[in-house]
Amino acid sequence: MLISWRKQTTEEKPRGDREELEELLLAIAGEDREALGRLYAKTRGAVYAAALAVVHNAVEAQDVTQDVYVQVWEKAGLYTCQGKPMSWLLAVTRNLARSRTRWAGWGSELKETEWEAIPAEAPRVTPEDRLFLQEALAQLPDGDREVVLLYAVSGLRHREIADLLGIPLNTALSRYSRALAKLRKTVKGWEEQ
Amino acid sequence: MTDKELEKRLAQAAEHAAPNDLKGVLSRCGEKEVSPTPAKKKKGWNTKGLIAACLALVLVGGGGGIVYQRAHAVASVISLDVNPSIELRVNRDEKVLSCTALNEEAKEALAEMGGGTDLEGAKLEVAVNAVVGALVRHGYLDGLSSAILVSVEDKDQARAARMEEELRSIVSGFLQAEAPNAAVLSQNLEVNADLDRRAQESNISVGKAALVDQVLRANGTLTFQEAAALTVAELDQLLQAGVPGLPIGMKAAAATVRDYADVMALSAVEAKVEPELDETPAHYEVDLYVTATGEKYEYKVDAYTGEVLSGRSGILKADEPQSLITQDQALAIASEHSLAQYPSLAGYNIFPDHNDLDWEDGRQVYKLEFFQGGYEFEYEIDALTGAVLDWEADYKSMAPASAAPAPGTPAPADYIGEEAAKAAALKAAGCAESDTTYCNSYHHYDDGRPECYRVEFMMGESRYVYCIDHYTGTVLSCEQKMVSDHYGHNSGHHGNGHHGGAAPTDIGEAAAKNAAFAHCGCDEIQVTGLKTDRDYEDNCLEYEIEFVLDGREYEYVIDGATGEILKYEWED
Repeated sequence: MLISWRKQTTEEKPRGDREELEELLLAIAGEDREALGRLYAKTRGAVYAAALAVVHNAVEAQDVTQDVYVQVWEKAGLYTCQGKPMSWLLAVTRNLARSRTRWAGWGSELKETEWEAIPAEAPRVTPEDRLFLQEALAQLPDGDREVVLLYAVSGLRHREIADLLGIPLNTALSRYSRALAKLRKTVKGWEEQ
Repeated sequence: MTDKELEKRLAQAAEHAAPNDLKGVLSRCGEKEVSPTPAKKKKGWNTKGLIAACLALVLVGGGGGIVYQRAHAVASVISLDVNPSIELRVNRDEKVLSCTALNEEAKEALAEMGGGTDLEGAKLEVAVNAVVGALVRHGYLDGLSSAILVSVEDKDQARAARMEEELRSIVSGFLQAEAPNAAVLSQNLEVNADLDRRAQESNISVGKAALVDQVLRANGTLTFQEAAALTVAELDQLLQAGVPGLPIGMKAAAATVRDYADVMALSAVEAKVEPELDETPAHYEVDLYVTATGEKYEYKVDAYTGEVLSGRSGILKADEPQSLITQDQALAIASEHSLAQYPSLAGYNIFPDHNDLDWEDGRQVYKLEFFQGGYEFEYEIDALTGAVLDWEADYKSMAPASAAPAPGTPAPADYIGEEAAKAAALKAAGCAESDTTYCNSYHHYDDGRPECYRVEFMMGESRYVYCIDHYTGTVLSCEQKMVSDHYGHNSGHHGNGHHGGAAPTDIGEAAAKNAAFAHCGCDEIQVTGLKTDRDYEDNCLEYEIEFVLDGREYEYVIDGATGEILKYEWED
């Protein structure tokens, strides 16, 4: 008997992860380069995805990702331990990403940016990764895509995602449900081909 | 693929696509700057110190004047603009010589710091943090569209660029924790006497004047004074939108809404305005908060015409429900309209699916969805006048309208006929036609070919749809869906929504499965392919249960708060 149980929740993630990230941030504030390396290894996927959700472009998102960790190195001391290290990290990411898009748009017409999720050189990216990250997500509206991506990669609660994006919890939940429904349909289409 | 698997695949793909260049990061992470406390002076005089002291005495009025000038000469002018405009003048050591509030809003924000005088002598970094903190506390940076502009004006362009970068980083770092939605814009400027003059005339900073100048270059019909009255966020959005004209401004948008909502003179109603000038149509979002009740009303105002695009008028007036038509009346109007458009539907009853009373463009509107003879209709009816505001018809997977058989069309001789199909469906549901509020039977077409008889009826608060084989009368599929209670705006159950109030209730996975099994008349041990999904639909908790029993696939949707079956369907 196949039993598949998925729990969509606003409950907190295990405290262990959060505590570890907080400890890393504290160590980085004390100029611990090894801690920065560990934080990078643990969170670069989430940071990249969060940046990508804003800038829509793999090269830009890579630049933002690097800027984020440089910023973390310089500003980790500003982090106050509230059990929300990932929220803080992604807030830094979104601000840098948004700042980049705003500057890119200065003085010119705002252009619709296409979803280019995969960098030209990405040796670890499999054809299946390409399908999910590029093809499937390209079909989602920006807001839905950002919520589902953040939920999938960051381990943040729905409420935390809502706070991060400055949207009501209900909106975050409905964007998430809508995005997943569309992704399910897309994947089903692939499977039937 | 389950949702969990989907999420996992996305996370994996992001991980694979993310850069893996720790070396590159570390190469940019130098030694952190030590806090800028000046080096301690040694106590006592040594020989060199004594000579220096003597020289200093000799040079008083000469070299001492140079030192004084270095300490008091303005090297850079830093301005911080949101709508409050604040100017900091600093010397070459980046100590604040003066902090000036350039407009009334800035004066209010700096009142707690002696109007800015408390910051004189402070390091620039400290002063900027203090000023930005005050702007956050006064609510200037907590909006989704808020933006702060940091400008550095200096003769030394290299120094200006360095300071701009540092200040941008300081302000961004501060706002990450305090106002994560605010955008930070920055620029460095060469000293420009003409810009200085125009800035002074308009009581704005030179930095904002430069931004205004950009706007004027994009649209020469605007005047400097007009554009200077806009906030930094408005100017930024205006530039992104190509400066099509002069927006009415946030104050005018708030006043327009107050007037429209009939709360112009009431201080107990607060207005919060967000510009959305880079959207189509360009507009202001205005929220009115009634302090006494905590109620919030949302409005959209056209940014250029000042027309209220949506929102409720006269919010403090008592509702007048007696003047509104009822939902049934609205449905009757919609039905009459649909028949006028599709006369062939005359024999079919309408089946309501989703009804709602909502505010749209300042008026109350019934939003109705219903089925009729295979069509799905969506209507918007003015709840006050009964006027049809909008409508749409969708032919659901049936033959083209021209090919749709009229009610009572004789079936081919070897078909069992609509009445027999109806009887088969009612028998399968265990009820008589008299138990239903309406019951329709018709040919269902797929890609223009007859597929089955489709029998739709309503019993209680559930809608049933059966597909019956043309030739044998076998039930091919069945679907049941709760209608009015689930979707109606007066819903009594589904109290588990997340609109605040009581904590959500959850019957749990086991109870949800049991509800499905009980309805199906089976036990968990008998089924295969069991899938359970906990989900939110329209903000209400639901369990989706899927399983296979005796080769038939069942799907149930169970209300997560009450255990009620909202929908079920099966297919062979």
